[in-house]
Order: sequence, then C-alpha cells, then structure tokens
Amino acid sequence: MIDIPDEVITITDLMVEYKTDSGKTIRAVDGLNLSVRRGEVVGFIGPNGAGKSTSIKVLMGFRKPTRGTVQVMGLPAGHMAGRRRVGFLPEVALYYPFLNARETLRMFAKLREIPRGDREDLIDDLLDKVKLTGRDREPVRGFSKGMLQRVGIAQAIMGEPDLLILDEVTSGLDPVARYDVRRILMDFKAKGKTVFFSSHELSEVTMLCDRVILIDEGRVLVEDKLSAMSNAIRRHIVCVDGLLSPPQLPRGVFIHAVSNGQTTFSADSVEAHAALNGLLEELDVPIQHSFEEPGSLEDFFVHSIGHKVS
Amino acid sequence: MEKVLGIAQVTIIESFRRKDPYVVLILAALIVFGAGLFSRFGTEGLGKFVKDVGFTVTGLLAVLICVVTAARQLPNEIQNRTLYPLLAKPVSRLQVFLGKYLGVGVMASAVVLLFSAELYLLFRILDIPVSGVFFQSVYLRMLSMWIIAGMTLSLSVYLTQGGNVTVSMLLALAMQTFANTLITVRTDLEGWGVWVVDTLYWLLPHLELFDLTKREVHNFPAAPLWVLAALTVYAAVYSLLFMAVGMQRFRSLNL
Repeated sequence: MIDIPDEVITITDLMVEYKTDSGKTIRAVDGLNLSVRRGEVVGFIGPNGAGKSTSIKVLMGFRKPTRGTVQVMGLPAGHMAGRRRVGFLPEVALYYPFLNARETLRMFAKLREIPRGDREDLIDDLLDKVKLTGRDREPVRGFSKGMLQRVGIAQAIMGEPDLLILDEVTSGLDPVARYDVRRILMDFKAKGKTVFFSSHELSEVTMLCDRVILIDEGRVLVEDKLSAMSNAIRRHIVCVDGLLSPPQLPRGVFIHAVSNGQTTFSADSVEAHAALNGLLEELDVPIQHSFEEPGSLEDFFVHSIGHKVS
Repeated sequence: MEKVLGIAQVTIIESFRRKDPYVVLILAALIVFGAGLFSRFGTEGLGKFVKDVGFTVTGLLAVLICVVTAARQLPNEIQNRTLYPLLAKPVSRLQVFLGKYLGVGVMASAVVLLFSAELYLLFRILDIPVSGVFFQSVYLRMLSMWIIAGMTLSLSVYLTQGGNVTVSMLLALAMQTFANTLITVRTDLEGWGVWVVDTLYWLLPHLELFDLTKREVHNFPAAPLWVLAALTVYAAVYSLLFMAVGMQRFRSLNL
C-alpha cells in the first residue's frame, strides 16, 4: 500500500503530438503544467479539442507523452500501484453489450482485486448507489446512454479509490441522474478523497469544484478557485420597463432576460455598462434598477475563450 | 491469473451470446445432412464422401468463427471505449491480451467440439462408421484453433478489423494447403528462389499437420501418441510466437 502524497496529480511540461491518417502532426497538448492536491475537487474545463481527453489519457497511462512528466499518486502515470488507488470513468463507454450490469461489475471487481467473498455485496451496494437495482440482469446493449454512464460510475467508484478521474462525467445524463452523480461525488469529497474531472456542464463544475483549470489549445489558460474566477468577471445588470429590443446593442452587452414586462440587460465590463447607459438615455428609457454581481463560470468561460469559438 | 480468467470468461460469454456459433452449427448440419441424403439413392462409397464434406465444411466454418471472433476483440474494446476502464484497473496489457487469447481459444475449441458432436451424431444417423482417428482429429483441430486465434489476435493490433479478417482467413487457409504447393514449386526453382521457398516452408506453421480428415475418411490407423504430443508442442510454440509479435505492438500502442 502506498502513502497518498500531498500532490496526487502532477503534470509538468506535458506535450502530446500525434499523426493523422494523412501524416500531418497534430499537437493536442502543448506544455501543460498542473497539479492537484489531496482532498481537492478540481474541474478540468475547456472547449472541444482543447486537449482535455488527451491529457486524461496520458494521466491514466493509455498514451505516452511526446515530452514532459506525469505523476499520479507520486508514481509515473499508469503505474500498477497507482492504478490500485485510482477510479476512472471514460467518456461514455458502451461496455460489453451482451453482458448485464451485474456481470460487467463482477468482471471489474475481479480486476480491482476485490476479495471473492465481498464481491456480490459490494455490487449490490454499487447498483443501489447508481440506481440500477432491478435492472442489473438486463443486457447492457439495451441501456440508454445515461444508464451506461451509471454502470461506468459504479465501476469507477468500486473499491473506494483515493482519486477519481472522470472524463465528461455527466455526459448524456438527465437532471435526476446528474443529481445522483453529484451526490456520489459530494460523498467522495466529504470523505476527503480527490476528484479530478472534465466536463462541459459548467453548472456541475460550479456546484462541485474547489478549483477550476481552464485549458485551451493544450495549455492552461487559468487555474484558480471558483470564487476568484467569478469575481474576475463582474456583471452589470440593468432592468428597464417594457419589452425593449434595440436594433444594435453595444459590444459586451446582452439581453439577459425578458419577463414580467421587463427587459434585463447584462454588461460584462465597465465600458459596456457605460455604453448601455448611453444607449438607454438616447432612447429615453428610464432605468428601473441597476446592480453589479459576480459573473458565473459560464461568463468566465465565454469571456476567456468565447471569442475564439465564435 | 484470476484477472486473465475474468477477461477470458467475458470473451467466451460474449461470443456465445452473439449466437454466431449456433447459426453456423445449423448451417453445417444442413450441408452434411444434405450430402448424406445421397445415400438414399444407393450411391456406392458415400460414407467417405459425407465424411469428407463434413470435416471440410465444419473445419472451414470453425476457422471462420475463430478468425471473426479474434479479429473483433481488441478493435471492439477500443471502439466501445471499454479498454479504458479495463486498463485503468490494476491490470497489465499482457493480462488483457492473454485473457482475450484464452477466451477466443476456449471459445473456438468449444465450437470444434460442438461441430464434432454434431458430425458424430449425423454419421450415426446416416450409418457411417467412425474410428478412433475421429477423436484424434477433433483434438488436433482444436490445437490448430489456438494457432489461428493467436495469429488473428496479433494481427488485430496491426490491421483494421475488416482487413484482419480477410488476411487471417487467407493465411489460415494457405497454411493448410501451402506445404504441398511449396514442394511442387521448389522443384522448378534454382538459387535464391529455393532459399525463399525453404524459408517460407520452415517459418510458417503447417496447419495441414493438424488435419486428419484423409486418415479418417480412408480408415487409416490412428496416429501414434508421440505425434500428438509433438504437435501439441508445435502448436504451443507457434501460438507463443504469434502472441509475442502482437503483444510487442499492443504494449506500446497509444490508445
């Protein structure tokens, strides 16, 4: 049994290149540096093609880096002793279509080195946790994407790993299933375990994470606590009476909501706020109320890389 | 070892639940029984013909099932993303590879056994006598499946699934027939040509050694036990060689 180090994940100067079928070299990850400390819940976010999945593959030892070092639990990525302490969920796997959920988990229990006598009880407990009790004798091929993800979560948390690495954890899940996953992860967090997960669902990240790492083009753009990120983006909210739709809004100003006979605008900077005030004055529309609030993670995401995506 | 057996077990369950072996079993029964019906017309020496057809058809179909099953193992695991949670557990790639090989080998051997039981039953129904060579033939055919499974599984880390099925089928059939062809070709060659033919002859496995069809059809005596033992070692050596080639690539494969 290895001791859990303070830094459970350490990625230093990671570069990953691969060749396409046409022979072109693509650099998926370019000098990535990050670390995750014991007991942290860290969200790993970025746009499609940012290098999240590739980084996770290197982290799990599925892929060799072109350059750089990756350590998990103080050991090189993919080390057998390290894998005994890690639970991993890939982005929606199909598992074995002709096996049922119980048989699938039974195989994973063997691989996880769960003692033979404990397996069935453990599987019952896991099936209960992921709400698949009663469906465990059905072939996996008839499962929806969400149910497959539940099987995946069950195998990932099997054996109480000290570190959970999850790739697109809530992908394909309905709101109830998402709530259940959040509950399981919160439970992990409460036990002082470490969770590192990538997700496109920024609301999940907001609810679960202590810290967020935003990457783009294979590099870390921002790495900070969620509160710091929110405070970095201040939104100016302006409410006016009536359903107002000016032909052209100033740059950085958006219609935030239209409801109860009111239009609410959101300005993402002081300059945008001033421009909005000027426009409303020009249109002779009185401001009902105006206030400032911290931005959401989505605001931060869009602010940081939205211009590239659009 | 439990991990290897666990992976093998899943491979076997999956293969049988896909129902491919049963479909082929019915097809083989229809062909052999159809051939046997000629006896109703009083044709002389029909027992030999039915035996020949039976062994040839079931042999080909067993090879086909073995190749198709082995070829889809690793590509499917990668495509379905099942290999990732598998390799995230404390399991080495060698164990995964061995588990797959063991699973396909057992499954293909079971298919040979099923085919043989079917043939035996049909021969009894059609009043065709069966000698001890029949059982030796079953054993050797099972051994040949392990060589083919090793070859196909290894090729699956180099070729696409479709390409692998084609290449492996061709190789498996060639390995059953090429020895006589090479001997014939060699007589007309000189210099480096002879060297190439000799190398091929000694390098590639001779699957025709595992085929006792003619011996059974023509009621020859059973093969001595030492021959069976030698062929068991022969099959083990070639299976290991194929596995080593595949494993070498699989170990360093970026997933």
